[in-house]
Amino acid sequence: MSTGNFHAGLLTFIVADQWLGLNVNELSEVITPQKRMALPLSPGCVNGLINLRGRIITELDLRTIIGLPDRKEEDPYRIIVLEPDGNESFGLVVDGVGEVIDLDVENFEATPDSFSEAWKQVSHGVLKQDGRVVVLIDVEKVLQLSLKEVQRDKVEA
Amino acid sequence: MDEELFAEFLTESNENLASIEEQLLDLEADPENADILDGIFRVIHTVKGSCGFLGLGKLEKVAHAGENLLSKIRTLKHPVDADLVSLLLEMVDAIKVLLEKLEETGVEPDVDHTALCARLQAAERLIASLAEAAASDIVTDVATDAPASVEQTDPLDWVEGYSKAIVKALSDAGLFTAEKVVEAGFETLKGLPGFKPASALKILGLASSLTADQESSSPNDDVAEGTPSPAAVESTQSPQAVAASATSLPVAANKPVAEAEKTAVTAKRKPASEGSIRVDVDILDGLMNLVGELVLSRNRLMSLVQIEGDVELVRTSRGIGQVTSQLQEQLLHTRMQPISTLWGTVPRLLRDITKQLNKKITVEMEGQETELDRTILAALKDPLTHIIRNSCDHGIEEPQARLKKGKSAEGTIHLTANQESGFIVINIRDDGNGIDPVRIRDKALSMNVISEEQARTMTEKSLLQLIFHAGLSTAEKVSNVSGRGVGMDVVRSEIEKVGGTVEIDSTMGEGTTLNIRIPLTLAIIPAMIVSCHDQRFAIPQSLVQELIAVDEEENHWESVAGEPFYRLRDNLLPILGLSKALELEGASDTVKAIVVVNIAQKEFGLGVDSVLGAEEIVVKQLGRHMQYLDVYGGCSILGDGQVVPILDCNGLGKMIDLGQENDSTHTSQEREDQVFTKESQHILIFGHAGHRYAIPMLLIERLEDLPAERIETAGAKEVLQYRGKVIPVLRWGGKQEEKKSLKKSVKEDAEKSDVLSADRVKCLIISDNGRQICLQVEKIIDVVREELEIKLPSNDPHYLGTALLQGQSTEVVDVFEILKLVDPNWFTSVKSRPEDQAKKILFVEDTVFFRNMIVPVLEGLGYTVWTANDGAEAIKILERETPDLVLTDLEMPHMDGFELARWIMNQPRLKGLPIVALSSLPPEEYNKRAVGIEFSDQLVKFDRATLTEHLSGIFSHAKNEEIIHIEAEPVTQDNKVGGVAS
Repeated sequence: MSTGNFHAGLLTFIVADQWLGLNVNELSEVITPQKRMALPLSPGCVNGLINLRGRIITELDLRTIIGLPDRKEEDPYRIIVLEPDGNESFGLVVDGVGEVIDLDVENFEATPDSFSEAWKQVSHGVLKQDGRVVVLIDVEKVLQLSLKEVQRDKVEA
Repeated sequence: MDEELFAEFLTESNENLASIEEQLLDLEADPENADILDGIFRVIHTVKGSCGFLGLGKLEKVAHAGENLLSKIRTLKHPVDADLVSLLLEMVDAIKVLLEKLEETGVEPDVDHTALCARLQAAERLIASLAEAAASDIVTDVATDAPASVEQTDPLDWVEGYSKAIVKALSDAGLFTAEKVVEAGFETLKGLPGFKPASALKILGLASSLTADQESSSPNDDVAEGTPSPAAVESTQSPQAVAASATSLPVAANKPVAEAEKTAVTAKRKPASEGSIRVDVDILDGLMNLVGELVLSRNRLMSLVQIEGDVELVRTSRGIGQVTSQLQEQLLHTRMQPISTLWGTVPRLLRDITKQLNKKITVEMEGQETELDRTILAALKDPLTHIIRNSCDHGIEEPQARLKKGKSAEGTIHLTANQESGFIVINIRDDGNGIDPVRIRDKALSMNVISEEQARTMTEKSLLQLIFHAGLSTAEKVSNVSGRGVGMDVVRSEIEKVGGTVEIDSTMGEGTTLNIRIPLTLAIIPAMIVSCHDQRFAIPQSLVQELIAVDEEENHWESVAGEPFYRLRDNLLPILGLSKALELEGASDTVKAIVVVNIAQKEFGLGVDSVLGAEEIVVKQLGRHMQYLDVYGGCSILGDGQVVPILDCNGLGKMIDLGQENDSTHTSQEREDQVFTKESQHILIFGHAGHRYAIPMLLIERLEDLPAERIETAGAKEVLQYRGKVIPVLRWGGKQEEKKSLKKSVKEDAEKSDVLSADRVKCLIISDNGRQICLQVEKIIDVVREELEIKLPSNDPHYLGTALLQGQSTEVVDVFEILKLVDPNWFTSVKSRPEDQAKKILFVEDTVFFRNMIVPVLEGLGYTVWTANDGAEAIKILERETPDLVLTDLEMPHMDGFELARWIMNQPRLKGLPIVALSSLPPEEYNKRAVGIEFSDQLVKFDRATLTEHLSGIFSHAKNEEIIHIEAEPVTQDNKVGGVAS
């Protein structure tokens, strides 16, 4: 995805007190927690499967994928339903969502080296806005990272 | 280029070309069939015409060259031979490739077909020159026939075969000749009444090709120039060769032209059935998904309605339910295609392979009309091709080799398909050389696929299945047809991907059979919903054999090598606890219900908490994060909206070591089959200290799993209170010293019983004519149905010898000797004498029970035993054979022992044949009925020791030609049980 598309708008969301952003073109909706089925033996990043109006969606937890501590059981969360080009859709579990903001390309910067490793592996830049730093999440990188874990599990199996 | 036109052209051409291969092969089989030839010609002709119009130069060149060749063959009535068909097939392939690329990219691909065109032209010239050579002898002007198709007398003859409406429209518009049509152009034609773009295109294509034919005076256009092709060189070969092959021409050339014309009419392309339309597969798939959702919604609605309970609501929802089911069924049908669409490619495949390998192979098909979901059909294409290639390459021998073996030179591949309760079973059988299990074993061993232990114990059938293991290919010759060892594992995984199973069976020298079972459809399946640790799972019902509610009162569990087994009707069923298999947290191991599933002729049980019921589910794929988990076949949404995983029993089955095919895991069908083999019997195998021991089940009344404290000590002996009786208990020693004296080790073990005793003990209750003993064993391994053949007689009196059971050597326990341990006064043991070996005994007995009991005893003594069910059967044997002794029961149906004895005594040939009666008749009756019969001996059934002794005695006397008469013992109830009160 090129940065040129960013003018379309950015959904901000929060995970572990860090503001993150996703291009709205890449997601279809944000849903509240659904009754989920935890699939035994599935890789750790897979929270389970949910029924989204007759579609079965894999729920991935961003915290687990990038190696952050688990969310507390009682804490609220939201699921961002992502529809990557030509790939199956999946749900990304985040702590909460903010709003859709316009991306000002002027404020876009490459991820600083000093940034936390956890975020660096899934981002392709940051946005400085109103005194806060929004990390731009690269969906493809998130997927690749989660599949890496699958690869590991596969070898173990 | 007109998009609409282009699409029409592609669909039309693909449709036409689909059948052309088949037609070419038909033509090869029937070279003089003008109908077939005309059909082929027409297709190529249309393709050529259309591409000319669409400006597809490359495609046109190939089609043109092909058409010219076909036209020559047609007009000169040249008989088609295999080489010619090969060439034409090559041309068809080239056209197909071009069309494929064209469809993909929208432009003509850059492929050079000059060589092919040159060869086609060379072939054409060869045929022409052959015809000329023939024509010089015969006064048939074939040359005038050739352009006849162009010079029409009736101006509209050239549109022959098209509908009257089209012909009328053309004549109304004044477009009589091909030239005029070409001049008028596509737009005008499309505008004519009754003209669809497709037919306009066709007419136009035809017209332009006809005019092109007229224009080009010579078919040898630019293509062939400069490059002399091999075939062209051939045509200038020695005139003798040409003349030799030309001799066949006059016959064909003499055929009246009228006949060709007549057949041309019948070869008209059938108009597409008016009742059918073409639908894009994507639309069908979309519909299928929608119906899937509808089924889910219906299920949800039904469960809601049941809670509501309103009558009207129930009625309405039931209506919706019915319509949904019908809709689903009908839609499933639209996706079904007969398997012949898949098999249609086989003859061509065989033709190519056989040419390459120099073998002769035909294919026979049965059940072509069997229908399958098109996605499954598509998935089966590659595996089928591979299997056929394998059969041709490795299976079927070369013609000479076949003849040497007394087979016909031509190999056959049989394809059969039929439906079997929700499954399609496809059999691919060849009559080739078969697969050598020993070679597979050695290969597998060398590749560390199996251990040496496994190699020793695996059955032939399970060895054969190893061929599906990656990297195993046993072919000595690696050819380019198959045999790089990457095939069969792919075949299996492809088939398993669509929910199918594959199994191989082979008999050396006779052939190989592959058995593929695949579900009818993948989209919607009936499933069992089970629960385990508060989680629900779906199991495809087609695999479910039965459901068992585990009775907590009775213990059916056995442990073999640490794995749980469930005793189900005398068979041990391997059990996989679902909670354990899926590592469900905190789940207890207690299995409350068992789902027996059957996969690839193997059975195993899935241990679950409960079975909730059956539901129709729509199979959905699992996301790619979970694709690698082979325990799931997908997931689905239940009526209450909850997501459930669908278990893949193939994957689960792999968790149990099913590699060893033992009889306990055979299907019930196989079990039934085995029941009918006369020699086999149920045998219990138990283990102790790593050794295996066998006892015929006939002697065992019950298997008990008892609390250890049930065994009490009475004096020096252990006893068990069992069903109101006190019966003696014997502990199986099983140690090495027990070989010397089981009795001693029994005592020793009794002392060590603290160590040995667990909470529960396994006991065999052995019943012997009203008396029982309890034999306590360490573990029960299995109950099998096999032939009990003593391979190696034992010197130890406690054993009859060693037999091979489940492929492992097993000591067969002599139960009578064991009985004597309980009561030493029972019998006096007499060892058999070596000189008695190989004596032949005819044993006549109607009860299976006694037969199975005595035969091993006799065989254990080294006698050869023939058995007969009654006197009549015995006579049949005696007419052929002369035994050394007849041992007969007295009370038998059809012909009893007395009658048999009288018959034998009247046969001069059988004079002096000792007859021993085995009786349980009271002495009075015996004496009365035995009048005039001299039985050599009369014995009590069950008395092995006396039997042994007496048989030896009789044989030693018989040597002296002396028939002794041992006074008949009075048989009473008392001495029937050995005459010893216990």
